[in-house]
Amino acid sequence: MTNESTSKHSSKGINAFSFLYYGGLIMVSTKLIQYGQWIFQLIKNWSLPEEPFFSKIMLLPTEAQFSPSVYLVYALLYILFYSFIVVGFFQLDRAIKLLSKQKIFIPEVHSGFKRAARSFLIYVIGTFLVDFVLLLSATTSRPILSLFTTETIVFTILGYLLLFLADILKEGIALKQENELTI
Amino acid sequence: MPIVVNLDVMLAKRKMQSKELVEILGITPANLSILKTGKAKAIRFTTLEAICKALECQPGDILEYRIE
Repeated sequence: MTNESTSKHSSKGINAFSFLYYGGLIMVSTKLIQYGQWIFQLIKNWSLPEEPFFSKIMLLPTEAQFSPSVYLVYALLYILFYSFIVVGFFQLDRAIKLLSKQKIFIPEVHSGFKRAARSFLIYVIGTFLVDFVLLLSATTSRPILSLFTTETIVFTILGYLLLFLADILKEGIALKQENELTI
Repeated sequence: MPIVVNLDVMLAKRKMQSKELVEILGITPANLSILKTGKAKAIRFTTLEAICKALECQPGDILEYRIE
């Protein structure tokens, strides 16, 4: 009875995570497609598209007068770092699937959480650096604080939380190993 | 680890096979192998007591501290 209710609870949790996982993937994919379209327009016309550049800071044409090639480099770097969210989600999904099979204290789950955390933090740091350089290059007096969006803060917290969980799992793996090697 | 398990030595002294000891102790051959090869992280007092009883020896005959 208890096992049944526990597995029901865990499957509910897994279902909830699956919903978040697929929702997140759709959100990220949509954004990546939008970014791809912007780059396509930029390359096709070799001039700045009508839609603003997809950075965290909306730059007016008077504030930034970069050449299309500079914009292309910024955009490609942005897409590269943004793709790390997909990598993070994928790693997290693999780890959660193992957890759902009651395989908790195994190195694969630990490394899955750690890789997901690193991916999210790479995304945060990478996009922050791209935006920071963009902000410095542009003739604008906007504060650096404007780079800290909700998305950035959420993924920073998520990244550190996953690193913390990975450390707990590492301790758990060591304890399990010791327990198994106690004769 | 500086703690060395001399189970092999004691088994040879008592002319007893590992298989026999496994049957007496009621542990798996894999666990006895872990103990013999020094891979074990800890040993329960009950296991140690059973080994001492089976091999008619003292815990010090089985466990030895060696400075690395």
